[in-house]
Amino acid sequence: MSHYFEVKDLHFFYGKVAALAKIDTTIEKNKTTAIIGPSGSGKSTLLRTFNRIYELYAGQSATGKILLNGQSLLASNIDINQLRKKISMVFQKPTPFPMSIFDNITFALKLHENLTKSELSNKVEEALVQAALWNEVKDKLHSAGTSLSGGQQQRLCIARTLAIKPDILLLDEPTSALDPLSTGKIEDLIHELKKEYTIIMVTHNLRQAQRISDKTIFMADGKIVEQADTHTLFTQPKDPQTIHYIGNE
Amino acid sequence: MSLLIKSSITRRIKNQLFTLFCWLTAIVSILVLLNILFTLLAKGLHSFNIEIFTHDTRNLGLRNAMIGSLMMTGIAIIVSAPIAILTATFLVESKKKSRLVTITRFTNDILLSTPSVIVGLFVYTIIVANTRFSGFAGIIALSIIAMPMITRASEDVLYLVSPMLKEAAIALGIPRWRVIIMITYRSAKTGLITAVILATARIMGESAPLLFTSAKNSFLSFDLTRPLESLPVMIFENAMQPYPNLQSLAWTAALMITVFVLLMNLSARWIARDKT
Repeated sequence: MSHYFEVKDLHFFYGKVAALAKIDTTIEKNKTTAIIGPSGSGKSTLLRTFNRIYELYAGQSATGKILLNGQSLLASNIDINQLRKKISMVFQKPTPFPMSIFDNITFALKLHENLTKSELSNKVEEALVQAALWNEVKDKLHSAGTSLSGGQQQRLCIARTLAIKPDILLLDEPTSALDPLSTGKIEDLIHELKKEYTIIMVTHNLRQAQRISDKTIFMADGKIVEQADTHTLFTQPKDPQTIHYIGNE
Repeated sequence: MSLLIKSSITRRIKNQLFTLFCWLTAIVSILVLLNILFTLLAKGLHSFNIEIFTHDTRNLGLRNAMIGSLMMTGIAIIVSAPIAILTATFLVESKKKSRLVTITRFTNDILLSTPSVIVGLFVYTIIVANTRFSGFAGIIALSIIAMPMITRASEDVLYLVSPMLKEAAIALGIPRWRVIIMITYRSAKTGLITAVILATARIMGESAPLLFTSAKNSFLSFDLTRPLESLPVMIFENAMQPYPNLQSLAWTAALMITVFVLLMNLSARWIARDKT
């Protein structure tokens, strides 16, 4: 049986230094997967191979297989922009573009779809509602995205990602730069999004992984130490490293 | 205990001496600037009247010099700014730190520190000697001076754009060239405009590169294939004359350059102001 999203024997290098070694995992459709592990364990690096964003930098390379519905994502003939539309990413810190809230959302949308003005407005509203930001910004859609608070900015970033209807949502510690209140809002949001999207999230926060995810992958030193459904991993960890890490938190 | 008190007293004295020293140096530099401005105003206003805008240099006006300066500076910036900003983009955005990047940056730095008189002589040898003194030759010389300045300043500004912001745009499937134009340039807008304005202000006052290229022309001319009057060259020429009225006109021309540069700075700030 083939899986929705599958990683086979993935290795990753910064120059000659191996950062990921022999990564094998599967991710199911419409489930949330959390990647946890100490700093420098390769969590973010793994996430960055999924949309091939690492290719922006010289000397970074990946070998092995990443398959989405059986299609190899590391193949050289893949339309990289289409891939990044399908597998979209939200970063650690909020990154609003230097334009209005409205334009932040339509910027990528306009590129991927041919829409009329009213269709665009509808899509913007839809995305902002989905990202639970609509009520806070509906009266100031044309003010700068940077004028929002940190938590609102992050929801704006999620909204503009949702607007392009990705299949998979990659979240790289999306709440690490936010206060508890904003974090709570984003977590509620992820709970809602689970129903429609496949989410892969890197987090430092073990409670967050427990609260949100269906499956958890524990990484250390560029390898997957243990992976299981979240409940099992947190209640009956098998590997001593996992026990140690979870126990210490 | 006494040791502690003593050290705290010497520390306070040192601290205050240093603060005083900083104040004094700041006052000295401000005084120099004020002195220049005051002299410029006092001597420049002497010959300032409406006629400098309606008469040419041959009739003790500045019309042809102002128009020549504005034409040459304006075209030189229109030519050099895009090339310079694209060069800076290449330096910042190229994925591999290739040899071409190193060579380009090195060449640019050399060009940046080349004395402007040498640029003038270069354009004279290559172009003027084979054609004649012309506005075009002046534009080329000014462009060569402006280009490395804008490249350098733009490179610094473009480096400051957060890599995460660019990644965020690319992660939405937006092609790289679009990210550069819509995100990188936009975030760096204020800095890029400042870079261009500073270069404009600098070449507006350059006389050395124009002496051997656009030369001088005491009549009003819009013909770039012929010699063209400019404010700096006119100042240089007139300041050497023994006639007080010509010297006084040179002061007025100096005042005009300063006013132009000031206006440009103000308008640039206005254009680049954050609208939120």
